Amino acid sequence: MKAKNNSRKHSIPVINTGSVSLLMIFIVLCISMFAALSVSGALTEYRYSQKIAQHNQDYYTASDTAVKRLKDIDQLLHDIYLQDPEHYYDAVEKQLAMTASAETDFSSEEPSLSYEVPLGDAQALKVVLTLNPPGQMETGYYRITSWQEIPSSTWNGDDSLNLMTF
Amino acid sequence: MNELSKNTFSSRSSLLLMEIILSILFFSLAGTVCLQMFVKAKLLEQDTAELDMAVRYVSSAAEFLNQPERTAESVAILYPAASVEGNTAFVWFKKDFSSCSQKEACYRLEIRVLQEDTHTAVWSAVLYTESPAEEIYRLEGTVYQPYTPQDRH
Amino acid sequence: MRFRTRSRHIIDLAFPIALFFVFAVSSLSILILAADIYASTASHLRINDENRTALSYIAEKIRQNDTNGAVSITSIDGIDCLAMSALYNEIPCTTYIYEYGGMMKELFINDGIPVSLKSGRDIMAISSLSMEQLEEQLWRFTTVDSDGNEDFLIAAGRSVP
Repeated sequence: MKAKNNSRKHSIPVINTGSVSLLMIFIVLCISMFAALSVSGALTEYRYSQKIAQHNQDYYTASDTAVKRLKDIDQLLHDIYLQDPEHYYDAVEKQLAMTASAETDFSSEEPSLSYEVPLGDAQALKVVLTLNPPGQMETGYYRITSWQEIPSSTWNGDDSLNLMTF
Repeated sequence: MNELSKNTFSSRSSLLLMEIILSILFFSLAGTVCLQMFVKAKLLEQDTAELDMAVRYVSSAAEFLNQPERTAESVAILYPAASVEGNTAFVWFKKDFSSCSQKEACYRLEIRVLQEDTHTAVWSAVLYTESPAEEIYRLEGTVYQPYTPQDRH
Repeated sequence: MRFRTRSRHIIDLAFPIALFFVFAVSSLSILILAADIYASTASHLRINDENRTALSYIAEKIRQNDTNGAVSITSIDGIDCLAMSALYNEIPCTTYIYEYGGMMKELFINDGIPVSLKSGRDIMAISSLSMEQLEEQLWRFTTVDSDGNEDFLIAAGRSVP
């Protein structure tokens, strides 16, 4: 009995075996968590920035392609007008139907041409050119009435859930 | 008995010391790894801010250049401190993307406009870091001046 | 036989305890430092996100509505607004984007109905959003984030009526 009491008197207060390890594990877990969260957050933001940069690049690439097509169409309009200004619209309609470089709409008073250039995976750049009537061609044979980013796939609003199939 | 308790005490003290030493060792190893992760996060944060700025400045230049009749000289409208050499305009920026001279520059924006023919011009806007010279972001495009009936081939 | 043991000193007790407390204090201070670094990184990322998102949003909106010269800058109740007109089911409507009460707002309204800037839908928090027309169809948008950092973006419209 006396020996037991003696040993109890000499035991180290406060710090027991394992308390150091417990503290170390707790601290290391917390620091690891903060480090992981920091890296994860920073990586997410960087990837988002890269996405924006890529989308921007895609837009300008599509714009560049659209300008090159515009150049070809303008060249065609110029040639047709110089050859036959009297039947300008008819000649344009016939020529564009053959080349299929743009969709045409000659139903209204001011005919229009339109074409789309793919922009990334899910979008397109829609260009609509309205033909200027003969006599109003000081600024050119057409004016750009649309240079618009549009979705190229239709949005599917189906949010139904297949709960039971029988 | 007294001797026995002294032995017990001594061994417990040694055990505690050993435990502390091992804990410090593991803590140091874990701390080294976590420190590297913190540094990586900080570098990513800086790269993100740099890329965002680059995209904004280069896109702004691109939108400006996409109008007909723009030349390298017209960049002075956007950046009065721009320096023009032939077809290329140079604009220098400090770390915080404020305009500065070439000496104190951390970034360089190069804007080039080349006239291909009477109706077509090709432009490019590129942002570089100054030293080492590394491209951060680039945009290129074409500007087209339409024909009119007064133009002849 | 008598076991030989060294005599007990106070240092045998004090040293491990002192070492433990030194270890505890230094590891806790490192933990606090790590928490501060994480908070600082997260805060910088969030602040950088404000201007980037606001300006990207405006640029995207302009590109998606660039038809018939629909994009313009107007002033309503002394506040700069980006106005984008369009026809929805043959009804002329306008979308306004502006800053009001520390928030970037978007208001979609039929033409002819009085515009109340308070009714706009909140998009995101922004300290300030100003707009300037540089030339015809060329605008500069300047945003200020919650940390006072100013960023700008130049956008152009290509379509005409």
